[in-house]
Amino acid sequence: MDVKLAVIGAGPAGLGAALAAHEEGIDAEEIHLIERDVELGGILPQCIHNGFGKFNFGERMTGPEYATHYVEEVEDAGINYHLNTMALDISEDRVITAVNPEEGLMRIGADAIILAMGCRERSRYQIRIPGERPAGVFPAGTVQRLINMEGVMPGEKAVILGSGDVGMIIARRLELEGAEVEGVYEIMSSPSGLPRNVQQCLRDYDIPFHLNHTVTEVHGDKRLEGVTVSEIDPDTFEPIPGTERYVECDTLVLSVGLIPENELSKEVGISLDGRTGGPIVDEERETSVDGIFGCGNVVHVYDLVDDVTKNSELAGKSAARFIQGGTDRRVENISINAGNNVAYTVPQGIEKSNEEPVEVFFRVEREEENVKTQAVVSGKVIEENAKRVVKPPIMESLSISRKDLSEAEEVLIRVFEE
Amino acid sequence: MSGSAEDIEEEIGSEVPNSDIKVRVEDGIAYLSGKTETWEEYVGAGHIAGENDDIRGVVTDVDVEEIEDNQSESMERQEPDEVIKEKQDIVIVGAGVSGCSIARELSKYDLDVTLVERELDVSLGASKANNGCVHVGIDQGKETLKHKLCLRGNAMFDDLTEELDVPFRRIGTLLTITDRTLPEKVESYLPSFVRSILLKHVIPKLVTFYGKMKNVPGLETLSGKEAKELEPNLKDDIYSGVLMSTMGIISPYEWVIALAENAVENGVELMLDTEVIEIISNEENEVEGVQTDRGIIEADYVINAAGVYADELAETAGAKEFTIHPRKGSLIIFDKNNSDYNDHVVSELRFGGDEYTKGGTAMKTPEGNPEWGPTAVEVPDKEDKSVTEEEINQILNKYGFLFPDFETGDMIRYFAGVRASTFTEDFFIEASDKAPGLINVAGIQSPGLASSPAIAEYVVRILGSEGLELVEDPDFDPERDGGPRFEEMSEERRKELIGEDSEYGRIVCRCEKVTEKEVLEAIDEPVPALTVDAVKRRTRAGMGRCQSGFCRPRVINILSEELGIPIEEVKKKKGANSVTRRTKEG
Repeated sequence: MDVKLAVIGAGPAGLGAALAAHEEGIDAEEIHLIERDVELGGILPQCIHNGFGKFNFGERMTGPEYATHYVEEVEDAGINYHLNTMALDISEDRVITAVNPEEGLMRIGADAIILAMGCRERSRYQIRIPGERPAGVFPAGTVQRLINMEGVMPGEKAVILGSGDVGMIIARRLELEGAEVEGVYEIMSSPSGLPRNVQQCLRDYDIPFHLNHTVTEVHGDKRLEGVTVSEIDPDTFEPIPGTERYVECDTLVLSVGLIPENELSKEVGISLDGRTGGPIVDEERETSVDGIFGCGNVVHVYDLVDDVTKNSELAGKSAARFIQGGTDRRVENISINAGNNVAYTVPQGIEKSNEEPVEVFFRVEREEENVKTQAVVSGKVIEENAKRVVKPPIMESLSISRKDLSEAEEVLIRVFEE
Repeated sequence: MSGSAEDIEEEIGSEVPNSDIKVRVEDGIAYLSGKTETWEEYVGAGHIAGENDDIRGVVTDVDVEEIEDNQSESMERQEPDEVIKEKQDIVIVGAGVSGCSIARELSKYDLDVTLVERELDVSLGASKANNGCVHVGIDQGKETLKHKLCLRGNAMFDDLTEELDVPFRRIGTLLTITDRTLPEKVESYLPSFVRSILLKHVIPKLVTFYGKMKNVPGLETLSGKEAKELEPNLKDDIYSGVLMSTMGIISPYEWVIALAENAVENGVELMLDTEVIEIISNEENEVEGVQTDRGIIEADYVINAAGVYADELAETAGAKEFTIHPRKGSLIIFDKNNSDYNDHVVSELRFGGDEYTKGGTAMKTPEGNPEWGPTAVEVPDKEDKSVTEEEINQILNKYGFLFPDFETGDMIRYFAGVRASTFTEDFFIEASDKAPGLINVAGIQSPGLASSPAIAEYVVRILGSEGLELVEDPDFDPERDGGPRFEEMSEERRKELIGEDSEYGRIVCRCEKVTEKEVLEAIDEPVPALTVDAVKRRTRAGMGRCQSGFCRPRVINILSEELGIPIEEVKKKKGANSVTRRTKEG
């Protein structure tokens, strides 16, 4: 099958990108969404809490509501989608091999591909919690799926490790379903999820929240029997001897980070950024391989779905222009570099010839108060925002005007302390 | 040292000063009683007795002060006394690699054989939790039983894995000689040119010579440069190496599952979830069968392949001939995006280490996951399968030294198994003197996997000499079909199979590309997958980098549907439900 645009993954990123490409003039029948799950929407259908769409719709929607909005648009537009379909491989000349039970093994040749595979959860082994390997240790997203989609409880007394947003939301969900949450433990000195979730999911439900703590051992040969938690020295990140405490529980929920899911990207030879775990992209969201774009959590992990949609629309438009034979943009690249207290930026580079302003997204490495976030070219500040506080869980952005870049070789994004 | 009780007692007294141990020797079995302060001393005392050439078994009845005696007196349980199986020729206790290998060998004959396993699957215990190396037979003393059986067993793997359709690859071991090979103490005395000649020329030749003396085939001495050419990611200053080409790799549980399936297809009865409580004997102490938690199985012969519990089981027949001291081994598995990192099993020769804790390799699984370990830790608890932070660091340091650029952040799992070691540190495979009809197959630690086919033959010979009539079964079918594996298929084959059955087109495990059909087949095999873990071992669903985050809900649902049980009754393994109940709305 030959198509104009293939989008891998039909979560908020893939849906947004497909719709934007359609709006930009690509025929709906030439756009194909490839989705491995039984329905469109990605992770959203299992996110039954609200808080989605605050920025894009001005109201607080649930995950399924937010997804439905875009799914209906996709349906109305007549964009093709393939459910239960796993993309197995992408080739450099943009042929996707995918499989599903109805259509079997298929090859989809595309003028452009948008990667929107999202991310996966970090496992217990990646953060090296020692101990035994019983049943009852779950990534938070799996728990969310079990409770909200399958209608089953993972356990009755839970310890949550990590204060990522999903972890906090799951803590509340478990309480609402009649399970006990013994506490949420966070190795860092500040929450890793959004402040609103700390309030609404933990404080409002009287769930104990322990900063500078982690799980240092898992106990139980069959089902989980308990965990050892220890206080962490905030300077060395080592457990403080003597602070170990045994906590009886049958469930350990891990909300310890998300990893962009880039196995397909690696196989096709796309350059990845070690800091984001996602492809290196330019302001059009094009990767290092011509005609392959990326958006959503596959590029870097977002905290708000509204931002995902915004960025995926950018990728969708760019892909459409690529298909329509826009100018060869890959002429000269201005690199965007992470300066003081900046963990990474997306995009990582800008094409000189492009003329629209560019919004650069970035995360800080540590919390700071009363600072300015700045874009700097040749020692000169070209854009800045005054911030009362910057925190790692909250993504920042700066909009850079093109006229400032005419002579630039690089742009430095930094946090400036006065 | 002679094998006299006095000599052993004296040596223990001087080597383990904080102990108070009495020794009695009878028919080549040393019986130790008394006490030690630490577990390490206890193990040390046992080894002193076991190292003696005249001692074939060591039985300990020793109190260890640092170990809390939490052996809660086993509750008086009333086991069902009805006979659930009459007049079996043989009952095999334990469906690990030894039990299943023996069962498969016995299925070639016209016999009634029952294989009993307390867990919900075969190949649990140490049989699943090892690195899958089919060893070459150089590490064991020439006079040991395990040496003979390892050599013989290793050579049998090509044909058997072909028959049983299990992936097996002879990738060879590269033993490296490095700046850690000689103990520091020795190094400090040596002039540098002597050290250099030793490391570059003398030691590899000695190893090769030593191997040839032990009849190990396929040995080759390599220069440091040649070693580096074979394994370019090795650290730069490798002095020399020895290539041992007969080393093979296999998935240890796939091997056991294949043996069990073929045995079942050839008429062996497998009883899972059935725990043997004791061996039943008559007045002459001849065995008559076993008492299980489901009832009595009558049998003329009982084969004790109960792993770490083999000593306790033998004792129920009044046959105290060996004691098992559990030795834990932990292993780390890495992401298979590093599958090209090393082509051989790579190990390092180090003199002066603890004799029982040497070993361990940086290898890869047949699927291409780098795998490092195992450790070797003496543990009092036979169920201690915890992996400690210390062990993780120890493994990373040990092999990170050989492969300094390896990305250890790509760790996807670590696990531990408990070896069933005896104090003689040899296999203990004998017809019991004390309980006629009982065949002990005990002390099967490394190289138990490599030896398994030879162990089976050896046990059948013992049964023959004990009077069992062995008549070949003309219907025996040695072939087993392992079933297709989607991830490894060609595109044409994938298309063809999906055409035949659309469930080959539904992927339930994204990391390992496992299809729903493969999961369904696993549940339908002669040794059925009844748990989430059993599905994992057969299909690899859940073995990938996300560690079942994606496939777990899907596999739980399939098991629930296929086994006809509510979802909350689906188990990860015996005694461990995956989920607990329905939600309020569910």
